[in-house]
Amino acid sequence: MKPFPLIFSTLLLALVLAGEASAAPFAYITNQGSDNVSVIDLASEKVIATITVGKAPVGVAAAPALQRVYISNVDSNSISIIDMAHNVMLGEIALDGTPVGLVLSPDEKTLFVADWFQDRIMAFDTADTQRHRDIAIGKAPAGMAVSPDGTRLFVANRDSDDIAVIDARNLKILGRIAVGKHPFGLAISPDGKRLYAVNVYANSVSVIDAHAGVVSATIPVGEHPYCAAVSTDGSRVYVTNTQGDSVAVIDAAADRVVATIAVAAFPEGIAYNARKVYVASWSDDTVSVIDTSTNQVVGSIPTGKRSRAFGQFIAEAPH
Amino acid sequence: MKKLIALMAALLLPLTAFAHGPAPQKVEKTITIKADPAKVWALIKDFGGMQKWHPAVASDALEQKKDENGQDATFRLLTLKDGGTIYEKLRDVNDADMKLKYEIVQGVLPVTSYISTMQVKAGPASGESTVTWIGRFYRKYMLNPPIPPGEDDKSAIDAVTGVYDGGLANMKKVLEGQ
Repeated sequence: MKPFPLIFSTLLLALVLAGEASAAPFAYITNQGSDNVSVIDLASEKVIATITVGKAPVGVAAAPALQRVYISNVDSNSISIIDMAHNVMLGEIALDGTPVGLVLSPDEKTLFVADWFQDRIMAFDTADTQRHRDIAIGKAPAGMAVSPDGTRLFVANRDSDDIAVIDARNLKILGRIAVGKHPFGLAISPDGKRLYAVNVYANSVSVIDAHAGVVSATIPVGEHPYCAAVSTDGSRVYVTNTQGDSVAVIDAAADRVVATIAVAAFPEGIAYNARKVYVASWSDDTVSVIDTSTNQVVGSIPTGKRSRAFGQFIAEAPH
Repeated sequence: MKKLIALMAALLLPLTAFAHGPAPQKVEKTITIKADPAKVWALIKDFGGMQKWHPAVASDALEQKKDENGQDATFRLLTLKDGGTIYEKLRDVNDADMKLKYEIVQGVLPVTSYISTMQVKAGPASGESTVTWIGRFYRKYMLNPPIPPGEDDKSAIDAVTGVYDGGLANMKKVLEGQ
């Protein structure tokens, strides 16, 4: 009988480990109209928590290693910090600006905040959010992306029609890349080679060679596009057409749209995870779920009011 | 009229260069009408006939011309009973979904980047229609606060709410023949 408990506990441990390994991540959806964040368990595709944050939350940046989620509140001029382990607010950073876009460095040591009205980027040390370093930037900075190696920060300056390239460590502006009219969302391929800028007024996506800093292609998409997400293998880019109520699917090798998928009205934030794409619908208060193997909408998850989820909103939570 | 529209279009151009506030606002209003959906849709899709159902509209002048991208487009100039005007662009007429989409180019409402849909659905009962009117827009004042009186989020929401409530109530009266 002696070995039995050992085998049993080994089995149990294996089961627990298997359970952890297969646990799906969580999506953190900012609801601009209800001043809260819907936490969606991607395994069940259900909202498991709703967390009250500041006024008019828009931007989101999830930090899985820190087990925190940062939320930008545009009407209360603050950043809310959520504890991923307990789905509660840890605190709020008051700002002397209007935060919209958020992005983290890959090591999660730096949180970059785009200040819409004061045309600057604030860089916070996530270990000490009392102070921030500032970078003066183009007009109405919106979406941001950091290269996977953490060396470059890219900022879409919506009203300057360009992308600023910044040294993510010393915060020096290295250059600017002219793109289409009103760039808003940015996404970078997992290998860091291709940066996608979504041009709202031009109804297009600029494909940028991230190392050379030049536009290599401009791809027409749908009406009033906002945000983009890249598949894990980099082969597909998904773009929300806010006024087309659809998602454009770009074949990255061919630099063209290969499918357009009807989704819930006024799609904004978009993210790719495990062969599915999640899209926040501002007008229908839902998240549409797309199966990327069929390009069909396979689910609709009710959220809070005016869901935006602008940023990197999916992350693994602890168990 | 053409000169006026050209002037309004010219005045509008510099406006698009400004940033607006980062929080778009929404007004959504729904009404049930005891009338066949096809009849309700026929009234709504008539882009040059808004004076037939909206009590604030005195006249509705349609105009076909090229838009800023050189595409053929349909516009309308609404002249309100109080004398104000609203110039709008038709974005889409979807007969299958009974859905109209349009935007405001320029006008007296204290809003920016206004886009709207009006949709008819059958029901809840047989022979009835449900009309949903949704607007997405920003406040009029598009720059850094302080915000001038009358150009804030609340003023924008109140104005659009007034347009929708008044319009839908009267549309119901017109269609129900009261």
